[in-house]
Amino acid sequence: MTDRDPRIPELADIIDVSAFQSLLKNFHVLSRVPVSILDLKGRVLIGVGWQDICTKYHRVNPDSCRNCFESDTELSAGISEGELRLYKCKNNMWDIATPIIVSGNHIGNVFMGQFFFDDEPLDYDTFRAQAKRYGFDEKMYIKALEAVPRFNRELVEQCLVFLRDLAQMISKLSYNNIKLARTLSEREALAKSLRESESRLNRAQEIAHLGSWELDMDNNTLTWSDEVYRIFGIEPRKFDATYEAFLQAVHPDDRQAVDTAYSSSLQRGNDTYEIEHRVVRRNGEVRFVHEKCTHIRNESGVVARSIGMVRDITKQKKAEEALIRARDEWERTFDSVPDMVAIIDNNHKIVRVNKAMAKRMGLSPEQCIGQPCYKHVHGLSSPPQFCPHACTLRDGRQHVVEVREEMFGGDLLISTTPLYDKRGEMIGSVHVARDITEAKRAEQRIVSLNNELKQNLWELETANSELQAFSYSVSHDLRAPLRSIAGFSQVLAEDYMENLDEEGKDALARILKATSKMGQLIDDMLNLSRVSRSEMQRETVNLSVIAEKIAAHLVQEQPERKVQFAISDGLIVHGDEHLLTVMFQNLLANAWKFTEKQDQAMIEFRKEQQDGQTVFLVKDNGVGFDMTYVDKIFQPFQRLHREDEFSGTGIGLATVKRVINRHGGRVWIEGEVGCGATVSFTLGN
Amino acid sequence: MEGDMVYKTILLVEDNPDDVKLTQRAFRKSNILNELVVARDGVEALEYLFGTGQYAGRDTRQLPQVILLDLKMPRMDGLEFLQRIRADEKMLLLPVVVLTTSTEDRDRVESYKLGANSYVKKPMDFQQFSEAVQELGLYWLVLNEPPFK
Repeated sequence: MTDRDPRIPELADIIDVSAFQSLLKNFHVLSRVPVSILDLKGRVLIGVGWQDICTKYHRVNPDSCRNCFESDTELSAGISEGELRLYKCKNNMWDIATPIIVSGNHIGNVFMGQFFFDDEPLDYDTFRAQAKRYGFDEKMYIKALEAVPRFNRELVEQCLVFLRDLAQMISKLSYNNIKLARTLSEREALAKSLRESESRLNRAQEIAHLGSWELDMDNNTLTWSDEVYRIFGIEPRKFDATYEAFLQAVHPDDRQAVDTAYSSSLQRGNDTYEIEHRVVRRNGEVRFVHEKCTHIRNESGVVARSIGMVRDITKQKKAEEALIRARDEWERTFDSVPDMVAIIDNNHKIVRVNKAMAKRMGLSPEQCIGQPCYKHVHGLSSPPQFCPHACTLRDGRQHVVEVREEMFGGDLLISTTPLYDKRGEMIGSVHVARDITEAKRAEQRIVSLNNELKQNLWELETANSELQAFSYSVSHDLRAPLRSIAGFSQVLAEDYMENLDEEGKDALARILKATSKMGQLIDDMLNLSRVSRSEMQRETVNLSVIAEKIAAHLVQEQPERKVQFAISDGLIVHGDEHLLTVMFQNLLANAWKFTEKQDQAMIEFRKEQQDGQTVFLVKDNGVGFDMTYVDKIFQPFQRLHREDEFSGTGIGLATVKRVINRHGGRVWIEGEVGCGATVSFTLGN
Repeated sequence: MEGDMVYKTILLVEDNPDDVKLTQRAFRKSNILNELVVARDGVEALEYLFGTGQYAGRDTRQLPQVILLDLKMPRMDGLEFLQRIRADEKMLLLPVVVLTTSTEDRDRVESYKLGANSYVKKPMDFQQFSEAVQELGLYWLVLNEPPFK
């Protein structure tokens, strides 16, 4: 059979070969009939009472053995169940075969053979020919032929019935065995697949963080799947699984809601309910779960069991929270930007605006959505010529323009930046408008102030150069007539004094004194103007040395005075030596002058640190001055003493101030009537 | 000084008549007897030296012993005059004393650059002025050996 059921085993696998061997051996002893059982491949499984003619001759020679084999397989093929076939084998021996059929599958045959009927003569000719053909020893072969048993037909018939029944019994027994074995293996497979599917379910629950439970109302027993234990953070089986115990694992804040959801669903007769709540694990960790429960009713409609699913949604919940946080953060940021921001699509329609933009548009952010931007921003029916959004849509680049839009509040700086979707396709632009009206105004103010400043500077420069020219001409034009007055007064004094009376002499003396004074004034004024105009040449200057030189000069001029100088050594600065010398001439000459009425005159020059700054001080113990007039003291031609007290032109401290100013420093004076004065100064950096 | 000595002239280039008069007096008081020729500006002084204008026909070989030169004058100032005469070979070495009221450094520096031999500020005090003139006369007329005789 070609389409043999593959589940049907080989014949050798379903019969107990040794038991049958023994059974058939006994049968042979009783009947002396040789019997064998062969499978369809011609393999002899059991053989008893086999004759020498077969075992020593037919099955030994390869050619005759092929006859045996062909007989065993071909001649016995196609016999139906319960049928007996009698035939001469290809080596001319009688054979009777009946099939063994299991579950419709022919898997072997029971043979009876190697005999002759007692009512037929032996066909010596045929066998002698066979001996010759196969090269058997004829004498011995014929002897083996003659030893073959000869049965009467009745006996053979009896045996045949037995054999047929035997074959049928084998068939039936085998079939039952197979059926049983199959049932057993099927059950085994079922149990195995049940176990597998259970473990698959467990694994699936673990992967999905989805646990299942069942509450039996009658016993109040709660059964949890492994995953429920995992979700609740409890070791499996170490939990008194009752509804109350379950509630204890629920977050205290959610416990009430969970209990209410369950019991109210029972009361209302709902078959299912869902709830999200938190559970607190033993280690304090909080998890979020989603529960879904279904009630199962018994025949009388009473809820007997509740089954449910618990899904650990902590991860989703946290992701959701992060998402919400991110969205809120983004929205807050978007809305708190003072610039007006709008997202505009490819059709110039507003997709989204921030608060600043909505406010300027006079709408709520929601109302702005879908509106054409040109209509609300520019009051036009199509995008304006300068529209940067249109430019961005055209070339995919950022565009920045400055526009003046009265209906939108003034000057705006607008930038449009292309916006792309996930696939990289441009879906519009981010349109940011900054109100620069104020900045523009400020800019214009700066420009105009700058121009004003330039004008002022020009005027100042002009005035300054005029002043320089004036100073220069003063030096010539005032000096010359003065010299004439002085000169000719001198001529009078030298040559004509005897012609004058006392009043005339006095008048002449006053003229001479006045001209001398005026000469001094002019010189001081020119000095002051030179101090202001001369080019600065900064170098390292030792102020101590300058002060010592000037002090020595003063002492030399009036050796009769007793003045003590206290000049600190090594006061070195960076500045213009000439200007600083002029300044010290004025400072020390002042101190010298105002201490002339002092018996113990003292002039000091030193430095000290004040608020982290180096300050130089020139201090005297002279007549001092009234601080009320301190504001006037540095102004040119301002004097605090009468001429008959102390001579002077009032230009000395003005000159000092100019020199200090030109060094970027500061100068101030402190004093008290009768207690001396201190001039302090800094020299910038 | 008197006797066989020939007093050479002094050329005073000065536009202020007061200063001229005071200078003359100072020389007189100091017994400086040289003839004092006065030119009231640079133009006149050049006419004198080159024998042109009002001095046409003058023997220009006779050069003054010294020129006292004011700087600020109408028409042609002292510096320009100085530049003109120093351009002439004959007058390259003629002693020129700048006598001025200017206290400007640049005037002094410019004067020396253009070949002034001395630079004297006119003191304000007449006494000092007289002394200065006297010293000037002594130095340039007596002590100094002129480059040519």
